[in-house]
Amino acid sequence: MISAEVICDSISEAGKRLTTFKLRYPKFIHGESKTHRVISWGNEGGYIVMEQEVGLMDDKHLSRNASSSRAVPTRKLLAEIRSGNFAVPERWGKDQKGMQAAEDFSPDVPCQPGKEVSELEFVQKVWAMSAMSACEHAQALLDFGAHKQLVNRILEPYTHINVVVTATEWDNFFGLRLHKDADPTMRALAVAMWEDRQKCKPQLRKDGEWHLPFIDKDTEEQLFRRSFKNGVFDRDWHLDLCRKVSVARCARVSYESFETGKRSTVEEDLPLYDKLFAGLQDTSAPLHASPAEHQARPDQKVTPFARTGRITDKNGDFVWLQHELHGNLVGWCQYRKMLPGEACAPLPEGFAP
Amino acid sequence: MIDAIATFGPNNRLVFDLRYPTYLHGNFAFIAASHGVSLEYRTKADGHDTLTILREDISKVAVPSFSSLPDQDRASAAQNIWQELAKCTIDFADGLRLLGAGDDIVNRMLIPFSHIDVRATEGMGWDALLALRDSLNVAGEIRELLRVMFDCRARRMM
Repeated sequence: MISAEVICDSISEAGKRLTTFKLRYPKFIHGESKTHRVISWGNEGGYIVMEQEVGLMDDKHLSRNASSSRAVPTRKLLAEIRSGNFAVPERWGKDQKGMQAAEDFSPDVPCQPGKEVSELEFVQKVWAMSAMSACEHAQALLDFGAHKQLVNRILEPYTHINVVVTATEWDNFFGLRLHKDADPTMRALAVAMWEDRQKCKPQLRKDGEWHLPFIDKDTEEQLFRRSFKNGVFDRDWHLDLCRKVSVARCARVSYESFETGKRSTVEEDLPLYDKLFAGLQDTSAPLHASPAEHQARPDQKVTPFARTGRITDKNGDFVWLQHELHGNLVGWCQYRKMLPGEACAPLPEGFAP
Repeated sequence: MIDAIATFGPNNRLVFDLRYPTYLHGNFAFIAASHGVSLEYRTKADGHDTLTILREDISKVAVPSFSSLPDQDRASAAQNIWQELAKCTIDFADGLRLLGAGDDIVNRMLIPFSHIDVRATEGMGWDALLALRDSLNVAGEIRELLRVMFDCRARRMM
């Protein structure tokens, strides 16, 4: 099952669009990084393989957080797989020279002459049997007391992963992954993302407004009640709480709490934020800053003179007022970049600077 | 199996050639990317005959450490279960191969049991990434990989 949903879509007054997706896709494409374009030549069946970076995990323009193998209970994964909701390849391609399968197994061709079962059904059946075999062994390991992190590994080919992704620069992402030679499962994900993004109308965020994934009206109202200081509504305090809850939910890749499986409350989210950013108080603890890459406010376009105080010869050009806060976004100031020490882990004991 | 070789690349930058279980890759790639380390893949799921390698030598199956189990007997039994599943999965993968399935399908089934070769090149130095080897918030096997890299770097610097 592949799904892609735009959960927050914003556009700045300068015209830069920032989109956050919540994705669910087979875990087996999660760590993959390249597509392969094959150029064939001659009658000898020779081919050249050209590789391009098209992974989700190593595209520098994308901020991502994924549900961890350590966080998902094995019993939940086992139940999903046993119910038949296991991950499968998008296309069931036949083996051939090169990297892309040109021909798929057919639902109309019998697996053997005279048999009723088609070759496609047969191949799918073998995949399903393999998934059930993995479940049996995973159950045995679980009963033995092995940690879910280990047990979940053997279920990886058959499980899905939930990922939250945020970026401003999508053109190259879609250009590569929508190409017909991209991996079929990766391409199906890209198509789902493209279609959902095309349907969305981004919300205009003015100067000082924030792009905050997983913050809806309900959450805002809950936080509104907590945002009064001495009986007066404090807008900055309110924004700070909204950012923190958004960070916690992006870290969890969900509105739902791990513990209860129900929608998380702000009472659960705020302590999670504090745990992730314990390093802000205790400098020996590392910051887990990546979930703070999904929240951002628009930057402003200014003339070079306004920023530097110097007249440049680039007449009519503009620069971003605070481009040092963009991180991997363009035209948006990323929350992560506003946190002290976000890019540098503390040196371990015994290593003085 | 986790293995690392450190060499000096262009501009005297330290480069690691790593081998680790494929199932660690997604997690490691994410941590590496957020510390400015780029990974170049030497082998990948589709385009490398994992099935033949594992069928010919079952000892090449990636097996996690079960040292967190309470006693050695349980750890050995858990390893046996893992190996048994590896053999079953290799049989299923063989079946798919005989039916004519493509490498991308066959090799994906073998993800829990295969290794990946990766070249890691730093962009901002290695200290921040390698410091995570002692962080309890990082998965045990990733910590182990970072420890191997840290020791490898220390040897290379001597």
